[in-house]
Amino acid sequence: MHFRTKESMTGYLSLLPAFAALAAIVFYPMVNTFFHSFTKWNGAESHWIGLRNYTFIFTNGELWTLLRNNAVFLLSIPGILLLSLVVSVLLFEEVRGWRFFRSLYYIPTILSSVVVGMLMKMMFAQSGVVNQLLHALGLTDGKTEWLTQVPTAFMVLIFCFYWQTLGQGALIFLSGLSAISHEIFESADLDGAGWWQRLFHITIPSLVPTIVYFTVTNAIYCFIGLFSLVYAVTQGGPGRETTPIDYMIYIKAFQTPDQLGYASALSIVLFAIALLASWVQIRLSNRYQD
Amino acid sequence: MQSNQRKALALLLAGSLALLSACGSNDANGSNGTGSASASGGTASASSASAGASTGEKTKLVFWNTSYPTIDENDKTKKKEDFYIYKAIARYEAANPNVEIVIQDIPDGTNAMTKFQTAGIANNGPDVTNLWSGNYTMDLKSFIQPLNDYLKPSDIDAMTGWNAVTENFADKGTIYGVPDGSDGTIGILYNKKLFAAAGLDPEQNPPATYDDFVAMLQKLKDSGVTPIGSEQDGDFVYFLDYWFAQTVGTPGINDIVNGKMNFNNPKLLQVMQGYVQLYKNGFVTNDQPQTQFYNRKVALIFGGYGYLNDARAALGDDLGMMKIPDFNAEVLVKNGGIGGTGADFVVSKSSKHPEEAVKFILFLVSKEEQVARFKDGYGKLLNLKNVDPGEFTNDPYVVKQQEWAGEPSTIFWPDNIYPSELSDYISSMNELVVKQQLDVRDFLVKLDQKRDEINKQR
Repeated sequence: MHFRTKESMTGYLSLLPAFAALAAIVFYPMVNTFFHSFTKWNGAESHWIGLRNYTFIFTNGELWTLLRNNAVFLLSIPGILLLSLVVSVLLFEEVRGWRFFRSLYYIPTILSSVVVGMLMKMMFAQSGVVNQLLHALGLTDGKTEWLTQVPTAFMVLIFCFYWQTLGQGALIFLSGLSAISHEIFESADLDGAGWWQRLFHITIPSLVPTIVYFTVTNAIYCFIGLFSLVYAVTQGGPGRETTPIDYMIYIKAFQTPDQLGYASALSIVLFAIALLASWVQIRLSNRYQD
Repeated sequence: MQSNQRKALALLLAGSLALLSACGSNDANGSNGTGSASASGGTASASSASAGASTGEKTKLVFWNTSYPTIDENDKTKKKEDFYIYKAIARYEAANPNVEIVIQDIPDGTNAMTKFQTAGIANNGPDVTNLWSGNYTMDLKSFIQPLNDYLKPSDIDAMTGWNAVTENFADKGTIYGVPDGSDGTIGILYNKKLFAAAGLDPEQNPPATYDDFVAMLQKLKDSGVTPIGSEQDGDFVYFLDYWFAQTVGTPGINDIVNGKMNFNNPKLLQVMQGYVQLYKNGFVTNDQPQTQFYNRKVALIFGGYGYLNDARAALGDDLGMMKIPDFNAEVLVKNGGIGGTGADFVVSKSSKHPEEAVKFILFLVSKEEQVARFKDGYGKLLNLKNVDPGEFTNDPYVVKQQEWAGEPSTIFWPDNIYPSELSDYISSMNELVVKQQLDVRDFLVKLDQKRDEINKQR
């Protein structure tokens, strides 16, 4: 065998284990899900029903509520982006106690969503510590039902999302800030640029790739990563008013008999939406960067 | 060098093939050791049991326990062996030395059904478990062994509640479970002292209709106490479902399920309006209803036999019990309640020993064992024919619950008659109704839409 052929054979065979693993744990489930999205499937038996699952998804009105719920989380991303940016800049500027705060902000990130969710559920219960505190301060009657009213339930969920993401966001932006040359800041100082001028004309423009990365990853998270948080805090309620698409996939697949095919179809729809949202964001950010 | 390269390539190939074969294996044995502890236990039991049959070793039966208490919230030091189910298993194993029961605690309700379904798909379910009866069980029948071949007529004759575990709720047909006791009849548990302070004596003057009920609640409220403690979903299953069911009757519930009648009809709309008015009048709290009732801060809760022991322990002689008043004089079923056999034992299709599994179930529901668990304070009444619970208890309310359970006015759990998806949807949406975030007519329209969608998908 020719040496180059042997070399390329070695290359391909070296790739084989990783490809086999990907095929088994990523591609096979994806193809399987795609196939079953056209079937009525109870996990044991399936039969072909064509596009009926998709027809139900797009006509029963449920999808729009689910999308609205995902959109609420999506719209909360600028808030956490801003917060992470401010915190990272303060840490970067080494304000008093920055070492302590750097650790403090990162702690919630290492906690599981379920732990954060259960903690918040207890805190925001009607007889929880939040109501007790607000009552002690004379701000409310201490009987606010945070998790049974739609706006406040969303507020608690977004608070959890922020709380858990802040540490990670600050870390990402800190690494972005560290990559900016000190010389630029020094020359801006010499030119008499103030703190705000440096922030808006040097820091933020230099951080655009980091902002794009942070936004895209969190947008994807808002479509596919909310399950554990929602499950732990509101279980999608009241009603189905805080149920995002990934939680509905769980409900349909594992809490509703014979609906694994429907859940598969909903997964395909979610995949398409997440793909589209990421593509739009990357296109927009490319244009902005140019 | 070339030899080393060949060896490395061979190793890579072998690794890839091993990975593929490991991931590709989807039979019961293939999933051994990769699932959760309990799931792998289930498979292990099956394989070891089949081995045991040929080698004379013990037959292992895995029992997913969803209902028998194995933790005492008030006494965390209580040993497992001191709980009824462990004692019962010890008795069974002593009588059947060739059988070993492996008990695994599983969360109750819909979580149990989720776990049972996923285990069924992976073909590593338990030998025996508890599920909710009716359509909750029937919806999982793809993973449940039909039991007709394992049950003798005498087994069936000894107990009530077989309709709840038979396909289409028929008197005869495919049986998918063994009825597990009775939940009694859901009524009202109330605090006599708080009622007396409000000038009320429901033993002498029980409220007969909705209007009487509202007048009674108003007096309680005026006395400075919160009248009703209710769960977040507004106790749809315990309370509102009774007013629904008594208004349209059991055949009406079946008509609603089949789409011959709509939820959105004038009678049920009137019921919904009356129900929501209780919330509008400030009669209800949804914050920890049982705890507040036991702490004497709430005057009444809706509940059946399942709550009786705890309520008696908390309130002693101050505990009262009455039936839920009829919604109005025109209802089809009067002076009744919701209840019956709400749970069953099933044998999963993954079981390699269905005969042994049924034998174990019949032991658990035998007269001796039902009486033993009843005396132990377990939250289910007896579903044995010709047995007087008065022989085993001095509590008049327990006796009364058993009497109520046998009355024809006790309507079998409608949520077990609805498709389980619809029951789950109703409970979810009712949360919005009780918080007045969803109009009652819209609620009923949504239920009809959901019912139609489910029927269409079937």
